[in-house]
Parts: sequence; structure tokens; C-alpha cells
Amino acid sequence: MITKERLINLLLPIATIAILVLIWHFGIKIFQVPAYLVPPPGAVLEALQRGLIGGTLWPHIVATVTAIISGYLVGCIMALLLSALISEFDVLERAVYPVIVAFQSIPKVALAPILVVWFGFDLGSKVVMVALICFFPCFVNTSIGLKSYNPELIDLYRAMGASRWQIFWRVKVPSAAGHIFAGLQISVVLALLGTVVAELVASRRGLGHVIAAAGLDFDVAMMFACVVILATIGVLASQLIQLIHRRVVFWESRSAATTVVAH
Amino acid sequence: MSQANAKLSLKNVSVTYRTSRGPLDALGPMSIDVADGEFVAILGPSGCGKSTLLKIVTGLLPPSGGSAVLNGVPIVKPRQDVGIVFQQPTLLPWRNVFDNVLEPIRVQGKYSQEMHDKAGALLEMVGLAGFAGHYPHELSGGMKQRVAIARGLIHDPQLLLMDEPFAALDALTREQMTIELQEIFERTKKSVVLITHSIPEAVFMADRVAVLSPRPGRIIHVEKIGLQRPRGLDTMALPEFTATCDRLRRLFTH
Repeated sequence: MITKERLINLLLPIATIAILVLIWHFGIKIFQVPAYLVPPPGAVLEALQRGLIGGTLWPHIVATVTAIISGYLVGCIMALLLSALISEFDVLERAVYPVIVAFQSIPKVALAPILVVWFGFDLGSKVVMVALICFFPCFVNTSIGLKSYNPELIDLYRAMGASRWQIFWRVKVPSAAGHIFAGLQISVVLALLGTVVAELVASRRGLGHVIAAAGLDFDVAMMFACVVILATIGVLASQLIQLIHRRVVFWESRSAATTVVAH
Repeated sequence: MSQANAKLSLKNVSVTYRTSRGPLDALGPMSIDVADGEFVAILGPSGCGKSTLLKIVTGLLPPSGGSAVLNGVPIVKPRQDVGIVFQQPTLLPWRNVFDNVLEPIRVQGKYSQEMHDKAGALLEMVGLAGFAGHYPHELSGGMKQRVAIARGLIHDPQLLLMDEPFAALDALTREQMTIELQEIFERTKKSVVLITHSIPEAVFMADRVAVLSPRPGRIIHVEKIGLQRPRGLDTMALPEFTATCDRLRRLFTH
């Protein structure tokens, strides 16, 4: 059931957006900003209509979402597996962890053109780009999470005669759940970023490609329309992860485990 | 007490940790026997090696010297016939009360309908019959510790080991829990080792109180408690109770 307070919490940000749109609308008029620099909201809406109802944008939306989801899954699954291995094998941790942290300082966006050379246009290079960007936040948060167990709980399990495997699954993984979701949350936003970057660099499909193409045509309204769609995808994806987070890790208050690692 | 009927027998047990500043004697050598069905309290100040003793009896730490024998078998590694209650309840936050109690059984792969019923009975014994489906974050500190006690008893251990089980509770709850644990002990007749730094708690519950010296912990005194069982609130008012507490207190303030 939606309580009154939750409804208000939902409506307040919408009101903020409405006010911003109003400022946008009248700001352009008052300062006489030409439409080829900043299109009025009406023109963007019209572009959205053209793309969505006319149907020209849908294949691009599908391409972008496909790249986001597959890259996100690849990156996060690799991150989960590797941090699990590292948390269980100390030698591996000392050998691999510093290297991964060092690699993180490479701006992965700079790799985009190389990835296109290696993996071709479209899905291949996009997935690799997104996976690379998603990997680190998920990896670091999971690694921290897998160490954030209560040591007494481990003692207790060892004293019960629990095997290492049992301790891992019954204690360490659930203890890490909050951190893992924090990582997944950061990664999902970055997945969007990675996809668009790859599409901007070289792609024949996707919203990033549409933005690049519209830019050449000076169709600023269409560029804005794509940004609006991307923002919507981002908000929906991040809300979805948050919802799953709250359902799965029901025993932690929401603020308890949020290790935010900036990109 | 003869060695033969001892449930737990520690003989010249000592522990020396290797540290960067050279060897550190943490415990002993110390010897003590716990008979079948006997309640022994280990009383000592902080840093007398109480936790080290706990690790030896649970098999988490091999003694540097001497021997520890439980139920006739030397303790060389963790084994499944010891129940443990820590100072903190250490429950799984993601499992409800009932599943927390059953956790040792699940880990040891011995789940059965009989165990299921036993978990229910234990929860009733610790006064949590109506809370089986609750999660730890919905319980008070005292209730969580009761769950931990039920969990410590579920696999019918030879020995129940308790490490300052009530230290994290407020004074009122603590007193109530002490009396309740006493009743539980009367009913289950388990061998119990209670590690504590509360003199009245030790005297009230134990058959014998072993007093440890500061590090390295050695037994400097063993007090046999002759107070009649069952013990209750009235026991604490007895002159004998007060006198015993007083005698033990003097050992620490000489």
C-alpha cells in the first residue's frame, strides 16, 4: 500500500523536475537563446514523439539496453567471482588486488577506440567497454563486503565443525550482501555511461549513435530527446537494483552498507 | 573428584603466543576437571586468558603445552559436541529465530523432524515460544542471548561453554537471565563452563568457582559452592552467598 508519506516523497522530485522544465521554457524565451543551441522543451517533446511513436528510436533503445544489460552482467559476474576467489585465497589477494587497483587508474573511456579495433563495431566492443567500467566498483565493494563478517561468527562456525565452503556460503556471502548491492548500484549507472561512450566512438546503433548523428545534423532537439531517454533508463535501472536490494537484504537498514567508490 | 568421571579435563594446559616482541605467555599452565553435570565458573579479570581458554576447549587453538580432553577424547580440532554461547549473541541476522537455533544441526547435516521439534521445545524452554518466526533485529538483547543459548543446546553437546554470556546486557536483564540460566541448567543437567568476571554470577550459578590470576592466567583458588539447589532470588539473600562473594572478592583486592 502506498502511504501518504511515500506518495509525497514520489511527488516532490517530480515537482522539482516540473519547475526546472518551466525555468528552461521561460529562460530560453527571456534570454532569447536560439533553438539550435538549446531547444525549447516543446521541441524536445516533439522529437521524443517523433522517435517513440514514429518508432525510429526503438531499435536504438533496444540496442543500448541490450549493451547495458549484457555488459553489466559480464562485468559484475566477473567481479563477483574474482572477489570471491581473492577473499578465500590470501596469496591470490596479495598478487592480484594491487594490480587491479592500479589498473583502475586507467581512464577506461580512453580504451574505447582500441576496443573498437579489437572487438568491432556494435555489441562486441560495447559489452567489453561496459564490463570494464562495471567491474571495479562491484569488485571493490564485494571484496570489502566479504571481509565485513563478524569474526565471532566465524569462530562459532569453525567450532561447530563447519567446512570452509559452509562458512563462505552461510556466513561470508550473506554478510557481504549489503556491500555487493552497493557495488551493483554504482555499476548500473556506470553501465549506461560505458554504453554511450562506446556508441559515441563508433557504432551503427544505439542512442549514443543517434546523438552523434543528430549532432552532425544540428538536430539539438533529438540530442536532448536521447538524453531524456537515457536518463529515464538510468533512473529505472537504478531504482530496480535498489528495490531488489531492499527485498534481498531485508535485515539491514538502507544506509548501513553503502561503500561508495567514485568512478 | 577422580579423573575417570571427568567430562572435561585440562591438564597443565598452557598457551604461549609468538609475537613480534618475543613469546607471550597467555595462559597457564593450569589444570581443572569438570565432572559430568557439573557447573564450573571461571572467574578472572580482563586479560587473564579467558578467551584463550575458550579457544582451547572449542578446539580452535591447540594448547602449547599440556592436554585438554573432552569426554575421553583429546581436543585437537573443532568438534561437534561443544555448545558455545558468546558475549555477543552472534546470530545470523538473515535467519529467523527458529532457523538460527537449528543452524548447528544444518551445518552438521543432521536435520530431522526430531530436531525440528527439539528446536521448538528449546525455544519454549528459554521463553521464546512465540518468537520462532521473528528476525534477530526485532528482538531485544536479552531475547537474542536466549536464542543463542537455545542454539548452544540444540545438538545436545557434552559441554556448554559460555563466555561472559550476559556481559553485554543491562543490569536488570542480566540478573533475570542469570536466574533463568540457572533454571535451564537444573533442567538440562549439562556440564557447563561459564567464563565470567562477575563474582555474584559465578557464585550463584556454579558448583565450583575457579579463580584465575592476571596474565598468564593460572588458577589461584578453587571455591566449592555449597549453596542448595534449586537456587533462586532467595539464594542471593543468604548470608552464605554474601560471605562467599566477599571471600572471592578479597582475592582480587589483596
